[in-house]
Amino acid sequence: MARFDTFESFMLAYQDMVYSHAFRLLGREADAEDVSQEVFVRAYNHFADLSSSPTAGGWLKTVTRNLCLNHITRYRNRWRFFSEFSRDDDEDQPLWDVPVEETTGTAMSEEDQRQILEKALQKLPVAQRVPLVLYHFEDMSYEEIAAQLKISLPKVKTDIFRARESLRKKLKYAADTGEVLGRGVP
Amino acid sequence: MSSEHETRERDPLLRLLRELPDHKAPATLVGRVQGAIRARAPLPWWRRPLTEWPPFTRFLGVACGLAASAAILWFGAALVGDIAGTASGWVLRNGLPVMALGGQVVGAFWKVAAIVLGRMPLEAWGCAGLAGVLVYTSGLGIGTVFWKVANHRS
Repeated sequence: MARFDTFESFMLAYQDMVYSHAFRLLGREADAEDVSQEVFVRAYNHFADLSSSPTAGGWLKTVTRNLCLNHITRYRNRWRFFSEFSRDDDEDQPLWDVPVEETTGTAMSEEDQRQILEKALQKLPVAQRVPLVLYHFEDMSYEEIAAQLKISLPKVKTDIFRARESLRKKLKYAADTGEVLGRGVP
Repeated sequence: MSSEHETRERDPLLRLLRELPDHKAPATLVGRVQGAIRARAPLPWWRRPLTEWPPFTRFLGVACGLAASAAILWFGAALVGDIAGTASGWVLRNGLPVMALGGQVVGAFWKVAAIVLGRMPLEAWGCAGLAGVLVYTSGLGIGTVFWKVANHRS
């Protein structure tokens, strides 16, 4: 485990991870940069402990996640007041797991698929993107996500399922139409 | 959990998700963080609120403040007394007639308002109430539309 002598070297080592995490949760570059800044300002206050800690990465991820969820909650509450009175229709959706399909992965290179996946991830609704990111990028369990987001377990499963399906459809569409970022069908 | 693990391993989508590389953080991030840290650096004690001063300095500050207040009150009393005497004489001579005139104007206004409001028919009250509700709801509607337009992200 590396020991960081300066805060700048600590930042350089972790900034991509923190920023990526914030960006995937928030879906907006400006918001992700704001949250990353706040994460590192807090890290600076604990730098004496974090500089040689093997759990610094986990600490940064947790703080990033909490700040992102606070950010989403703050802005979502304002937005929901006028637009999204809560959707409880998801509660009784079937809870089947993701079917294994071999529809993706042949027509495009993996690099193209990753680019399309990143873009599609940003365009997912917040209610689907956040549980998906927590599940796949933080390895949180369904139960932990439900507790963290204060929503029911069935809703977590349904949102993750729908998010995966959206991503799968997007990839399949891109493969069928030959869409490749920057040089294909828009 | 093991079936979920197997699904994660076999499903190409889940594998791709797991293998997504980190985004490159903006080059400005380090500078922004350093600026924020500088901006939040602790201020020297004399630029902080009195409650955060060192105890002895706080005591000294409060004592000096009280002494200064007492001095101002003591030495300023005579001056204030002179000014007050002069001012009260002026008010007695000029201010009271002006205040009486102002009172008459306000009283006349209230009399006119009472007559007008008292003669308003019940329907007029209803119309005024309805108009108020319409203005309020349309204001709320317009505000909602502006909010949605301003916050909408495609």
